[in-house]
Amino acid sequence: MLAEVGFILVGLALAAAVYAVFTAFWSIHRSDPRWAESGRNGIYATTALLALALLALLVSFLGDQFQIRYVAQHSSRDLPLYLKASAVWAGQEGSLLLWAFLQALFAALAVGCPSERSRPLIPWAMLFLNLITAFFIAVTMFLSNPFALLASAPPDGRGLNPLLRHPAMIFHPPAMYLGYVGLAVPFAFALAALVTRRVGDWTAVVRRWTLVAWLFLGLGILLGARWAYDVLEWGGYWGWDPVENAGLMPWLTTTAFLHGMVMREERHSLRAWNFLLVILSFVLVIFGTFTTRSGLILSVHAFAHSDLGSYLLGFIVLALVGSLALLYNRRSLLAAPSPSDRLLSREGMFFLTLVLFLTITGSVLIGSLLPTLTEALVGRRFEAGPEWFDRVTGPQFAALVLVMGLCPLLGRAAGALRRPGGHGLSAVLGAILVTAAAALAGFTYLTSLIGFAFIGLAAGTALAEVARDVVARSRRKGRNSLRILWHLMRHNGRRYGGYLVHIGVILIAVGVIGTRSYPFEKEIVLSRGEPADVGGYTLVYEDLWQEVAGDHLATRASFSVYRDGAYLATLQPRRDQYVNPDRTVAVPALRSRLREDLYVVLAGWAGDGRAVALKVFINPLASFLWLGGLVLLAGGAMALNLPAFHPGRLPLCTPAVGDVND
Amino acid sequence: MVDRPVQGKGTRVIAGLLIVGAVIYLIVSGTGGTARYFLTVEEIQAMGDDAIGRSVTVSGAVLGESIVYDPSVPCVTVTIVQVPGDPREVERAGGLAAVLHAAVNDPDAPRLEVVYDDVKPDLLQHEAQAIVRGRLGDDGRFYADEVLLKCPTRYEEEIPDQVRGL
Repeated sequence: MLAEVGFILVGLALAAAVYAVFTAFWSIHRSDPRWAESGRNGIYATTALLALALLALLVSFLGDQFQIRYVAQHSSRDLPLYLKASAVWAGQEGSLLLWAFLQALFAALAVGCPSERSRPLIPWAMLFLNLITAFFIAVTMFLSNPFALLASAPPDGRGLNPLLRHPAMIFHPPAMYLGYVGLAVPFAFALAALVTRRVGDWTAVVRRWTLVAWLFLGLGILLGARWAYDVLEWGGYWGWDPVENAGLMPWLTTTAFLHGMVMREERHSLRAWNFLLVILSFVLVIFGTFTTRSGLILSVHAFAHSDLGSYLLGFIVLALVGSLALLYNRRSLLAAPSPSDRLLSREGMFFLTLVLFLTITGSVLIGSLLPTLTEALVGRRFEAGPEWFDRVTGPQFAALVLVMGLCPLLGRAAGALRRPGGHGLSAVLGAILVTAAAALAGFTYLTSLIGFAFIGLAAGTALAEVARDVVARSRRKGRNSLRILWHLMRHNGRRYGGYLVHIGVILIAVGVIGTRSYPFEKEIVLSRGEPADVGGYTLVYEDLWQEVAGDHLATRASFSVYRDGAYLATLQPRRDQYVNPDRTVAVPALRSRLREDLYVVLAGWAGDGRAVALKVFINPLASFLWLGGLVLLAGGAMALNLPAFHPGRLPLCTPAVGDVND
Repeated sequence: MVDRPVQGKGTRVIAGLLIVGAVIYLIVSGTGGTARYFLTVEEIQAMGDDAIGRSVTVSGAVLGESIVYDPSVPCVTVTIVQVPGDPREVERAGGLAAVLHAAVNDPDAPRLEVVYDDVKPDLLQHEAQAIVRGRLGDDGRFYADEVLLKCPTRYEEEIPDQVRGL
């Protein structure tokens, strides 16, 4: 019953979305606002119907409706309630339904609250958004139906993959999808701006939408990395797997777009670039979905092959060719009114930033497709492992950090270098201090020291920028500098959010250098009570015991950790054995400090627990990754510059004062 | 003042091209230096002595009965069986699950013994797809540094059954 209701709801949603497409088209054709109004209602109805369909799926999971194939594949009777709920998006069918719903929701929000600026663009933006929404609903309905029934209901479901039973995995997929659907909004408005030839201030219309999408993508990537670190027992957080890359690439191009937007608003330059970046971001989202489902990429991470591939490929080609042709056709509108200046200027640095973001994205794309590409080009398949990606993208990321550090040294005024003084000094000081601190802490490889110097330079200039503003203001107003800083951050969120994001990036870079350049990994076998030295620590194996914990059997080992004879901690790595599905999952134990993480995996034990096998990882500076990620997200949220909440007004609808230039 | 923008633009184009050129160099040298041949069991055996010592990636189906694990070292040995490398060929044969099932039941299919000095991964099970990275030894056995596994018959999930070889 629920299955039929759910399927009918999806069908009705598709009908409503198709109606919305036609009314949007008709309203443009006839220039009749009544059709536009009706189309708007169509997309609201689509959103509501998809919400109900999702609810039907949720109820099916909560009610153990195992006659529904998707429920039987991803849930079981003894699964805790919150995991049953999150299993709604544990597989492809449910994910696509969620995606379609969020896409409709974003379309409804984007066209539901027009501003003065966006109004002329809305009819076309609505048409494009409705088309995208209808596409995803159609895919869900015809190719990936979550409500498909089994011939007979099995007594119990197959259970949720234990690897997915982690808090980060509950929020990671929705965060990624929110990012993905969010990127459709700037894409639709960009096309609308090109079609209507109103290329003047379209970026102001989509700025918040882009930032929201960027924030969710960033959050999703961060959660995914943390999940990998906590669950996959390999001591790492990023493996350059095609699925990870699929999420990273649109995030990189969106980051580039956020920078291009600033230049467009400050100097009216980089206009064509911005369109290109928005188009690329959207196409990369669909491309990522395509590659992971089409069998094109040989990855252990890829989804099971499905028929989706060819349809997604068609959609990609259509979106890419169509929008690039439109962009080419409108090229005369996009010539920069003020001619560009030198390379060694703020604008030049922004240009280099965009180029670097694009070359990194290109490198990641080539690496992901390397087996397919090399087979086509040279007839042999080569595969790009993590070393390939580290080696190819590492120098590019370093260059990006360097540019980030150099940019504030160049004045906002066109051309020349800023007078040597505060900024240059703090840049040099930052570079020296950070490099010296790293070297003293034992990080002495040359390449990593160069990286630390770049990081110090960038940190020095970023802090000097903030300090300059604060000092100038507090002198003028005679107030406490902390209060001034708080005031600046609240009222100038875009600029200070940007600084905060840069500081987050700097912290992440520290973590990346530490973990990538100084990895330590060792397998050891320990007998009870016998101390063993590994990586500067002494581990003493004390005990091993088993206990039934809910739906699994946990085997836990206990160790005392010492350093130079001093007791530090007791670690208890464990292995959880599940019956449904029949799987064992290792849960590593972690001692996390700023200097390094001690990460211990229980690998196995001899029959009676006399001895255990451990995998020990030491990940230097790993904490900086998570700290930096949080700072970056906080900065992004600050840059949203959301006005105070007013009941009845959606925050995304209200254009903030100083939205364009501050 | 007239010629400055033009000059500026030229510098920029040159800088952009330099970056792109450097990146192309990185990609080409990276591919030569760190990318590995991606081979099937049949292909690595066809290479004969040429394959010895080369860093390669081989994919195959896990033969469950061949798994021997000594946790005290720790060390795993396992035999993997030829499966086609071309995804399209896999698709034609009815999907990965069908191909893996057919492979382990084909006594004539080429096989490769893999030695992995590490803890036995949980997913190392009969009919799993193994992607092993490492080198072929003089003794004809494959010494893996890394083992990636996937069991397509059991789940088809968002994050499918995969672990990075423990």
